[in-house]
Amino acid sequence: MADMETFAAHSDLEALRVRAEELGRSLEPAFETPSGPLGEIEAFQLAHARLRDAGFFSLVVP
Amino acid sequence: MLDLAFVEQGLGSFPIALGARDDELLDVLRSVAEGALVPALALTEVGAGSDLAGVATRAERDGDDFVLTGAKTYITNVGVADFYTVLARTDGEPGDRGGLTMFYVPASASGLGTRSFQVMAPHPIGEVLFDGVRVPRRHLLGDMGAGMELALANLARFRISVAAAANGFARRALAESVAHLSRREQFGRPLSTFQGLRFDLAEMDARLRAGELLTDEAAGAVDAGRDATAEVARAKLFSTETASWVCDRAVQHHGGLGVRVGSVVERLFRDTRALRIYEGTSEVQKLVLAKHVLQSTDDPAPGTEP
Repeated sequence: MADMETFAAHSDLEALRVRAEELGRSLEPAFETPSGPLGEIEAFQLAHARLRDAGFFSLVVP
Repeated sequence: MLDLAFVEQGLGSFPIALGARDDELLDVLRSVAEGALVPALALTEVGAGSDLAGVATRAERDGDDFVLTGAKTYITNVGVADFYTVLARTDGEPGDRGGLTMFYVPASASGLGTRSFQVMAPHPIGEVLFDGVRVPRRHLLGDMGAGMELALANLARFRISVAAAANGFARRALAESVAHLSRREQFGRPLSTFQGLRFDLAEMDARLRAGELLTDEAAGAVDAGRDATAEVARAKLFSTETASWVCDRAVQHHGGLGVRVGSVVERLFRDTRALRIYEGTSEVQKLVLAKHVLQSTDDPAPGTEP
């Protein structure tokens, strides 16, 4: 039964995965600057802001 | 970076969801869900990696408060975290599985310091130092002495996310290989027409799909409320090892471009390495699985005993 439920939800999960991949790819250019990659703090802040704006955090926090 | 920023938001705050006893902490949880606060999970110490019983950071009772003294290391989100969920020793000595308790500690607490360092795939990480940090009793998470169980329950849930991240890295590496092998010509024809490289692509695809299905199975078991220890260990072990292998093949397919700093596959190769270490090494996952296999086999196969 659990396997069936998992696969039944697969279409939703796939849509979520596509959204996450689009978000990741859209961020890639922003991680690079003319003088090299962003520092880890700046890169984190950028990633965090995009995830927050996209409403992703409610998926991992009950 | 994106996967870490995403997952750590849950990993660092889930102990609050499991063990908060104060309304103030439920407000903290809501702020984490909104992205207004950034958490960090502080378990590992120099003497406590795979074996958390080695935790030596002490939380001494002082009236209605606890006073934390010690040091944590390899803590993701150091430098950006607004608070830490900390495993500390309220009883016993390092080596005892009992006597550990979890606490909520704001990053602004007096006596708390941090020191950043760098790892091969850059992200905020470092040490957290506790020098007499005072924590009120209401910020205790779960029951006194039940910190090990809380920490393990937290890891069991979020290990699936490591497997899922590994699948994402592998999927991207495979896409990069397909694009490069289709485009790049050597000896007068595209690399994708060479049988050896086609075999590689097929194996990358099959292993990735297996990792995705194992992750799906583990997530389904957790969602259903079943004991998913074996499923989660299987998914974490297989997907992270597969991602490293897939990314290594992608580097090989790209030749010199694959080892050029800044190329996508070079970055993926570095990004995937730590996945086999954090939130339980591959070796720990094998120990978990072996225990499960041995316990679920009542009798050895017929004919194996003299």
